[in-house]
Amino acid sequence: MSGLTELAFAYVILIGIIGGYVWNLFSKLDDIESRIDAVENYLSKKKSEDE
Amino acid sequence: MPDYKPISLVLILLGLFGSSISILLGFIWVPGIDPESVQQGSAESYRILFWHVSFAWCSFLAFLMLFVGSVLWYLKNDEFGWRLFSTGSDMGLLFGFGVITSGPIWGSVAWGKPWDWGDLRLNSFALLTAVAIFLVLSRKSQPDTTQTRDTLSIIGLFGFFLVPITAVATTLYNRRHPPIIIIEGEDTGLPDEWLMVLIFSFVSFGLMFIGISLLNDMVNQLESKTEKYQRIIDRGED
Repeated sequence: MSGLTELAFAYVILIGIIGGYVWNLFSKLDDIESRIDAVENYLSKKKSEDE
Repeated sequence: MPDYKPISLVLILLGLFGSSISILLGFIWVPGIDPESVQQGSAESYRILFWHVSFAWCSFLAFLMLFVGSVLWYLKNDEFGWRLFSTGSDMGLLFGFGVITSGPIWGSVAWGKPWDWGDLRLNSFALLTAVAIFLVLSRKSQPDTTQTRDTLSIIGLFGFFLVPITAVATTLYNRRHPPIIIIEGEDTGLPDEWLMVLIFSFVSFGLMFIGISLLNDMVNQLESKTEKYQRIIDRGED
């Protein structure tokens, strides 16, 4: 491989690492937020049933 | 808890845009290296420096964050310290991984082999990244208790002692990795264009670093909130 190809290859991998990591963080955040909403709904429902 | 999602997205996009511009400038504006001055391989491969060095500097920032967090948690059991610790270890892993990915690709062109097991800089940095992997995996797999946090913060402190060793490795024990070239000296220093693009790249990486840190912190805080809810539900069902 020529130096330029190696260089382009390296940059693509690095952009992929950052992009993948950020994508993963955003989807994780959405997942946790929806789980928290579900738990909070469950807890408030349970509380009102107990009352 | 404030919602950092929009601001972190803006910072990450700005950072990615700036760092992509730095690649472009590195290809079209920065003068090339005299091919005869390169020991082995292609002179073009040196242009990886604009990202490799920015990744490395940001990883040191992450390890500094990890160190401050470890000290704050270990001495004061400070919750903000633990947040710094958690974000610092995540960021240390991400940026450390960037360094050890870009380095060997360049090394395979410049040195004819991707890794040198006898080079102090390479191996101490790999160990530092391994510490970050260990901390991230342990944090995720162990129950979030004071004892776990105490143990992990001690390992975080140990990890930080590798930072000065890594930083001075190329000055005290130079084998493969190029020495510190940014400081102007007899054998060191960079042409103005290289320096400007490098600084521009680092500033862009800095924006990205802040954006990803905010996002990571949000995820970590929400994860501990989920764990707290889990404990409440478990207690309620017992």
